Amino acid sequence: MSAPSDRSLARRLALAVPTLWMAALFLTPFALVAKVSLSTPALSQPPYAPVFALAEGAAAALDKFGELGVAAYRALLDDDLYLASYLGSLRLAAIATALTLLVAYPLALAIARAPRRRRAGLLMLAIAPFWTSFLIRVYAWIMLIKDEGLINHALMASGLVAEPLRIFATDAAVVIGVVYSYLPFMVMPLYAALEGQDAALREAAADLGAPPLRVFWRVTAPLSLPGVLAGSLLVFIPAVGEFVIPDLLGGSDTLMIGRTLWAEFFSNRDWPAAAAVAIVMLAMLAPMLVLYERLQMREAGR
Amino acid sequence: MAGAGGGAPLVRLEGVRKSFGAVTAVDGVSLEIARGEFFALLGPSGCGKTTLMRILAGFETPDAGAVILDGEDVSATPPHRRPVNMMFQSYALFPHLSVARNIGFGLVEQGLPRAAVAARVEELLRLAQLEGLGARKPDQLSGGQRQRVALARALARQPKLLLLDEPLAALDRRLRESTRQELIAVQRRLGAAFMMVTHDQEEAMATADRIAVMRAGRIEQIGAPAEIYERPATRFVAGFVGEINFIEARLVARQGEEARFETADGPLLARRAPEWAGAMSALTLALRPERVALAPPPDAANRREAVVIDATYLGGRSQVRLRLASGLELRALAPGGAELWRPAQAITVSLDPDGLTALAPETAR
Repeated sequence: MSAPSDRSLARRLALAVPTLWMAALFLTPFALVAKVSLSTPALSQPPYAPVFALAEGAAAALDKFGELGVAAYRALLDDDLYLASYLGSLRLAAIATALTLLVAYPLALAIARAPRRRRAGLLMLAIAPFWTSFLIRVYAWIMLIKDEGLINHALMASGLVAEPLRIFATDAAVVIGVVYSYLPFMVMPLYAALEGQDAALREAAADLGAPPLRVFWRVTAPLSLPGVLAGSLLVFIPAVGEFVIPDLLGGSDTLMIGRTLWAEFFSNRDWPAAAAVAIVMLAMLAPMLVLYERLQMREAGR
Repeated sequence: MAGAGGGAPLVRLEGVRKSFGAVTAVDGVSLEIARGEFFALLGPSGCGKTTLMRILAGFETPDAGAVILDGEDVSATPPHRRPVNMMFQSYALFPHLSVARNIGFGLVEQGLPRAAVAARVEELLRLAQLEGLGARKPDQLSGGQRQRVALARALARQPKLLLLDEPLAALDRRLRESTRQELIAVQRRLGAAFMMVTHDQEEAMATADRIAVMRAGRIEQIGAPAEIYERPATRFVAGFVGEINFIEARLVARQGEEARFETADGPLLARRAPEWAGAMSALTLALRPERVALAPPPDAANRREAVVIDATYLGGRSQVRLRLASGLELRALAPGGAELWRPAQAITVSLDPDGLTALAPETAR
């Protein structure tokens, strides 16, 4: 009689640990950010009002609730800068995601089709560079693409260009940085989708008269779509909010939401505006996160 | 039935050889398959039958030898340019395509207009008794239905040769029998040559016009099922296809077609003398259990005194194990129940002279 309730208690405890973890480290900060986004900027420490304090008691806290409002969100609508930042982020993230897919697909395909005993090693080679510091690798790109950098040096020396190519401090540099930095996130799900395909399906397609390229388009590519979608979401979602890459490689005119957010926080000290920017970005990306979770669940269910 | 000869064969393999690293999978195979023939490659797993079939499909290129298909050397032709189609053991149905699109896959590659593809797919759905299932995905079908989709897809392009890789292995026992009959019926109706790979001797016997028995990359014997069963050429074939008794013997004399042997249990008469054996040469005789008569008439040839070891009822008939005076054990099949035979019972048996087959000595490998 007591055994089943014991077990359900144990199960509840087991679930309680991750639930508490998520509540403490995700939900609480999120609630704080949401609250800040509803505040108004103030010349104080911290730089917004109202500030709740336990010592003031419940009645004072209730009074302060009335001071909360959506002014910061309204400001987002009033200033075109925010809309331009969101669109700029989405645009650059989309371009970078597409290019990452183009680079990662042949790479993942080659690894998946390599002899079985070599696959793990090749995968390691594709991912090992990403074990070093992200910041240093992005910095290294400056040395490669700046006007007097390695690439321009080589191009000029070979006589292909007379003037150095302007790559550094442009949107193109941001795209290059994102493609490079997020490559493993695309390669891994693609590799998993391609490696798991039954070779007999390709043989069946060839047997039915399809030359190699047709086999790819009619069998290999459609069967890898879950991997394409998963990889694209894994690159696109963080790329939208990326700050380090546009800050280091982008130009002053590179509008991305991560930079705008940084500017609100540190340059303007407008915490409510920054918090509102973050909340809107999260709302924008949430459907994609849900889509990705659904995809993972369906794959796991197979 | 359709054998080699009688018009140019559809398929001719000449000394085909294929190795994977140090392993020789196919070791100099030559054979012919006639038009309209149902041919079976029979052998234990690892005997090279699957590799040989993959060579015919074009998935493997032979290291040596030639694959002649309809008079044309296709040894180096890639699979998509061969008038050969294959039904895979796993069926290899495209999981992302509907049944109709699976069946029409090869027709689209032929460049047929959309309407012609649709019409032919409808026809094949009818042939395979899959009407109304064209829109389903493969994972919404039963095992038997999947098998029929695979067959319809492989037949869509009207191949000159259809390869079937263990076509019945994935089906349960009940379905196997009816599916086997369907396969034979389809083959007869279309008149195409079918080549089946199987490790199941009963399946090969019941289905094929001719069987090639393979062992360790080589062909041991090619012949009609009855020939393989009644006149096995080697000890391996005799043992692989059904139950059999082996009797060591020495050829004493030939009398026209007949031959006299000497064995540890006395003289033996066989109706057919082996052409290859010289006088006094030692050899092995093979005899099927049903060729051992347990209640022979008094004038029967090759009579022997024997002692019953035990009897096992097999349903309708019993298998009786016997021991001859020399200690040689024989298996016999007798109608009726096992209670007719008591252990240690002394009986007289006769070894049918028509059933005794001299086996070729094992060649050195």
